[in-house]
Amino acid sequence: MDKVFVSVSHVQKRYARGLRKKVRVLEDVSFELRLGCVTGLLGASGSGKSTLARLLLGLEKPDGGRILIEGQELRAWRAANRGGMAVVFQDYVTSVNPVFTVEECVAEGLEACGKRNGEDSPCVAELLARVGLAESLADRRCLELSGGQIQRVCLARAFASRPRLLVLDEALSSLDVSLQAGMAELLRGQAKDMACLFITHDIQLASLICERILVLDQGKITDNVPTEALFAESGAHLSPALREMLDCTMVFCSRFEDEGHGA
Amino acid sequence: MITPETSHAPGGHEERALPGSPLLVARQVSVRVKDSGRVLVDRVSLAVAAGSCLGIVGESGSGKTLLCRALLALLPRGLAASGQVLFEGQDVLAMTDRERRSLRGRDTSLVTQQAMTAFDPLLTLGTQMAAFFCDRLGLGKRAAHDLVRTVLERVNLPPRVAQCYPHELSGGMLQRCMTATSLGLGSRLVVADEPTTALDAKSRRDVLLALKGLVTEQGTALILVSHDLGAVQTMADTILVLQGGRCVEYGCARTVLNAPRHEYTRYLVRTRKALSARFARFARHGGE
Amino acid sequence: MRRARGIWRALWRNKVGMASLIFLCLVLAAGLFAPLLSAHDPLAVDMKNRLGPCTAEHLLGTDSLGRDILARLLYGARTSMGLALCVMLATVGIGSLLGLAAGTFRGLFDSLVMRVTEVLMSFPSEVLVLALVGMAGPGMENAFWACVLCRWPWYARVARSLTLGFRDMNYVAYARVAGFSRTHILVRHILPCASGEIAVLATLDCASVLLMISALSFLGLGVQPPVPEWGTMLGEAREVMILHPWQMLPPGLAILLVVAAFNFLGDALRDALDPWRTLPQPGERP
Repeated sequence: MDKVFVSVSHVQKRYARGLRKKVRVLEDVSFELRLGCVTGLLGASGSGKSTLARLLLGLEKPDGGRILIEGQELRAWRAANRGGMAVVFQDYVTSVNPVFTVEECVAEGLEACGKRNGEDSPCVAELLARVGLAESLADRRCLELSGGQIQRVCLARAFASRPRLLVLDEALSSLDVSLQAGMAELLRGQAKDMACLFITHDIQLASLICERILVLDQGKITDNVPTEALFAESGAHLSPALREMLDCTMVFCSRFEDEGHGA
Repeated sequence: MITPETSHAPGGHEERALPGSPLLVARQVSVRVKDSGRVLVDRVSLAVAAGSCLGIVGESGSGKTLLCRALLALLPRGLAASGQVLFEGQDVLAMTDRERRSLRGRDTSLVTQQAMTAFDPLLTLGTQMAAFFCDRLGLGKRAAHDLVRTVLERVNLPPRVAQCYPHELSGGMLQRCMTATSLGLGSRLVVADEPTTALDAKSRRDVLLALKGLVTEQGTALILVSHDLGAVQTMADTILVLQGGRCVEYGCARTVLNAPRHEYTRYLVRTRKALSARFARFARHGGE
Repeated sequence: MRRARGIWRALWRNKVGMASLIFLCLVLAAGLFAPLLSAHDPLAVDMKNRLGPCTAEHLLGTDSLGRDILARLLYGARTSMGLALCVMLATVGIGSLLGLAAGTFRGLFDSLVMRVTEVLMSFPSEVLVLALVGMAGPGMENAFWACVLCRWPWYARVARSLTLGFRDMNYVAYARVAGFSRTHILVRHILPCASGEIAVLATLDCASVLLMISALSFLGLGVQPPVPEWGTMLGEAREVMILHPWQMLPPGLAILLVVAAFNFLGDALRDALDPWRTLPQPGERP
């Protein structure tokens, strides 16, 4: 299981701003994703997390470096493995087609891996149940649902095609904390035979779900460590960006146990 | 002295000595849809004193935002509020629009979740904030711009922010600009509606610190609406838990979070703990 | 199906829009069943009865050649509305297909289509229509083709920009990531979303096409005289305007009302087709 699945090497990306100026979003990013492993990508807003996700999904082309999946070029692999990739974005409003019903939406995921429309009705219900949505929602329009529900529809759609590479771009950030916990559980259950990149700015969530943590700061990967290393006795090997993130989170971290074991 | 009158909370409430007399008192506030009469917020009562912070927690759809809007009489069309909202003894809901307008800004202000849409994209932040100060505080142009610089400094933003347009700043910076505006206006009541959702760790800390500054330095009464229990716990003196538009628990922050009486509060605390369990364990051992 | 019902319900709720729709249907029906509704021949000249007043036999009077105005108005609905609808359908078809394809496939095809639209749009379309009809000679068919040629670039541009807007949507991104082809994405995602906007545009445009055809006929460039058409009727009434100004009223009012109805219907459609607005109002959500 512990095989390199996706290898990203020396990837660069620039965006043009104005006529002449080019802004470097990513400079020389290299890392690997393995099957059966959830990798967390942490970074402050504007650090290039989402750009990296779009490159990894083949929605944009890198300006330098290459992305290989199982040794093949990304686009070639994607064409050969329909439904092999899936993504859930943070912005749930545009994540579902406003004219689709929930069922059509999830069925699209099934269709991606070659299942026909007619024979999937029990399957859609099952997928919805997996993300904790009632079957009765199936013929509602997606837009009638709340944000949390839409996001779960997107997760169901993503799981439907049994992807081998799943990218979650801040997918849980807009959910309630109580839902986040459930989805984290689900994700860890599903992650067995896929490589998952979990992009977030919430270090608490990342430390719960991920086995490895990448930190992206100003277009560079500054840390690539197992999650346990975050909390090691001496934080000397961690980058300043990661340490700042840890500190900031701790200031406003809930400490229920600390205040007497009342709860 | 106002005691929380919550008909739905189980058990009696301890009398809590609020620091100072309450600035805002809400009695049996309900929000309903005008056409269908559906009740979205059901008879919620609360009180906030100057220099204290009330945290309102609950899941999305529990009516947190609507309750806040009702307190400021800013409900969207089609919704109607009933009950009493007393701001220093005056009933806000019974006021005319004109009277309410004079109350806004100087006395009450709102920090919203969507920082991007809160400012005019065509003007620099400095101009907008200064215009606010001129209008509400009757300052001259120079004085207003000086004030902008001062308040930006107080929320830990560099002065160049005043020359920036909203799209040039991150969400966290805009949130802090909103907080800075409230700071400059000297608002006595600030309602912060999910100010830290979708912010990264550093911006979240900065925004919360800025809000905390309002409470401790300026004696502002703060209503902090959030589903982020960690933030509410560190900020709030009193906590109100909403579920499906009803108040299920209301009381001192320590008591509510550490010895929750209602099943729903226990559920919220439990999920929060589950989520930060790994982190909290390490934070205690490794981080300190 | 659900969506169709939702749109219908939203349209039903809009009283002005519904009234406009009913009115337009009535006018169309009146045009179609003109022989049943009027006993008079719109072309029958009766020189003894010129410029006659309203009587039981001639409800709206007779024109300068003694023809029954009501009959001409009814038969004119056929020509005017029929021509306007045909022009609209042709332009929408050509324009939106090219625009959608340009937005989806980009590249050389996109640049080609866009350059052509830019050339056509750099002239005021009324002037261009006049010039084309002037060159090809007056007549109904020439007016039709001139209108189509001048109008399709608008649809192409709108359809293209809609497509580009939808390309950035996350659901299109998902479909691309999942490996669906561009054609599939165009048919499954973009077409249903864009169709609403295009339908609105088409309805609003119907009004201006009607005006343009009437204007051409009024100037004697479009539908030729003996054939009843509202613009031609207006042109004929103009000749006797000083002494008999009320002759202008029937065709003028017909044009005014139909154009207004198309505009109201367009607005109502826009509201009804907006996926966000057909949602239950906040708070009604179960």
